Amino acid sequence: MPYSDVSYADDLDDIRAAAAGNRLAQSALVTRHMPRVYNLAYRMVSDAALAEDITQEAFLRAWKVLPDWEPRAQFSTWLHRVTLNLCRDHFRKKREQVMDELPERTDPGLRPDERLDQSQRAGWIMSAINTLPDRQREALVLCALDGHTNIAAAEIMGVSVEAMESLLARGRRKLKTLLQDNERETGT
Amino acid sequence: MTQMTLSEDDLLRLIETYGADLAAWPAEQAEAAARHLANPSQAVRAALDEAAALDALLAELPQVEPPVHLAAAILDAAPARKPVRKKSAGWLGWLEMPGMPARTGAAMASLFVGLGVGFGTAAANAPAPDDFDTVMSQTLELHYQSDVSDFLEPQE
Repeated sequence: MPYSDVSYADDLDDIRAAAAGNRLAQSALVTRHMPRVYNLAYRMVSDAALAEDITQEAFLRAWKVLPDWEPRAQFSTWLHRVTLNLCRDHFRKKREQVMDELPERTDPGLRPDERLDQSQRAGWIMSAINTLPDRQREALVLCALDGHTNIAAAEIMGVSVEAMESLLARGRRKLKTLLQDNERETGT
Repeated sequence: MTQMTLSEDDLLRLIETYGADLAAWPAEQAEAAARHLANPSQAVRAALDEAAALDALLAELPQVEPPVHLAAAILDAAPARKPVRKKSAGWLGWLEMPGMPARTGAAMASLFVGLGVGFGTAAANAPAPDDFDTVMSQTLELHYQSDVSDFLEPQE
């Protein structure tokens, strides 16, 4: 079952109780959503401390809006959209700071003599994902890694489903090319 | 309900977008694709193989565990339970003043009830205006008579 469909009804009850200060309901919301939110932030920014800050900020904003929560909105989608926007803010600030000083992203290519163990390989995949343009990376992380439906991912990104599918297809194509290039270079 | 049909181009586009695992596809397209993929063309088979290789690569990325203290930090910033408001004491609620013990309020209530009953009874037993005038004039008459007699010389 896609993550987005799991907890809609539970969330509504917990949101009402959490807004009134019910600790159990607040804890249930955190337990249900925090790991996914943290993973999204981590996969977008590739920095554990920063992902932690972004996750905390996203929930801080959630606590503020809970008393006025509209039942028609889906909490998980809203929370992921806030998280993604916080990641975008981070990248925007970072670009402004280091525009002319550093290369924007690291080259995921390996020397021909390099061989990878599993953790190195995961690191390389993340580096490769980080070379994708922002929107393609967002689509890939939300759909292919975090298991959101196409509709939820489009809503989180603030684009149409067709636009999200196009971004996802281009992201996968580019990643596949990077993988094939690397295999040719390393002979793996 | 009519079943969705997919062309080979549709299939190739969907494979490129969502990968080789139909579980990651939108439900309606996955259902339609499952019928078509029973006997795929060479192009579709090649696309599926390439997509599966990429899926396997992405599956190597582990879920990242959040730090253990993060949930507690988030809950620390959560709104506290609002103080429970006491139920109104009804029509006697006005007797309730901050810091005043309930016993004092009850005593005040008794006092007011007593005063109310007292005034009510007095008003009911008061003489009618005519009776009142008669009584007052007689009383004053007696009073003045006694006062004047004190100054009169005794009659022989």
